[in-house]
Amino acid sequence: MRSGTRNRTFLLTVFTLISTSALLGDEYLIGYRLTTKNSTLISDRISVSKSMTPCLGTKQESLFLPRQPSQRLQSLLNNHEDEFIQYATQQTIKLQSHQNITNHAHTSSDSMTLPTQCYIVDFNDDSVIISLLK
Amino acid sequence: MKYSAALALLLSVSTLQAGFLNPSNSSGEKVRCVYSGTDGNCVEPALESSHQLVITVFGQGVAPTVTASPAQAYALAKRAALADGYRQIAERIKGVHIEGQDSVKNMMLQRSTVRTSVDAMVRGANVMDTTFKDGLCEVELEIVLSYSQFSH
Repeated sequence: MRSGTRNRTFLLTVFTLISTSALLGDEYLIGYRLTTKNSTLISDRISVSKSMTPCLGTKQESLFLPRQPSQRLQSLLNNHEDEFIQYATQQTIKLQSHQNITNHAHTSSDSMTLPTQCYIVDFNDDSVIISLLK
Repeated sequence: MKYSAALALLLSVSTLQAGFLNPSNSSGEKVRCVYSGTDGNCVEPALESSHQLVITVFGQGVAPTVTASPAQAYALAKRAALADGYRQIAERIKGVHIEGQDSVKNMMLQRSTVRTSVDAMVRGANVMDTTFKDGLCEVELEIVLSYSQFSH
């Protein structure tokens, strides 16, 4: 009798965990860095890593992106970089800029960094929904 | 009689000074400026608690000389323009750190250097418009500032 109750509790916990993870999706840490020199893009890179610890916070506004079957998140974000940057830059952006004028010769460099933040990614067969967790 | 005439004169002079001789006060409250231009006109209005302040900048970016396609040139120029736009917003809101150095030898200027730097966090700017012509991309960025963002 007792073991039956324990089994039922265990099954209920497992079911709750599975259903919660299915609802929440996978947690990813995503960051972005862009560097320009004399108003020309030198480098930009989206860094993606699966979160090793659970993220805290609530879901913010979501971004919907089409996805090819079994396409990984890094490749997907590289393909849809413009959409993701437009979505992500509505959050906080860190900017560092340096200009140097020596005897009328002018050089400039700008660095724009999207701080690494946790996103919940819901993978579907032909799309993903990315939501910032904050 | 003498006293009443003197009092009337005093009152009329003070009334003229307060109202008629100073038309800027009669039209309502004066506009406060963050800084003034060289001609003395207000360039940037101050942030008031009663209304929001909208700042619009135009960031410019150039496409690299070697690109695979016009679409790639556009995408790369747009990103550079975005960074430039964010820099301008940061410059206007937070300010610019400026460092200058002049070297003089035998009463002649040898070298003149001006370094400027900006370091800021920007949140809530929106891209309003994007244009791309002759390899130059222009992005119109807008940020709305309200008093409550700075009051706490």
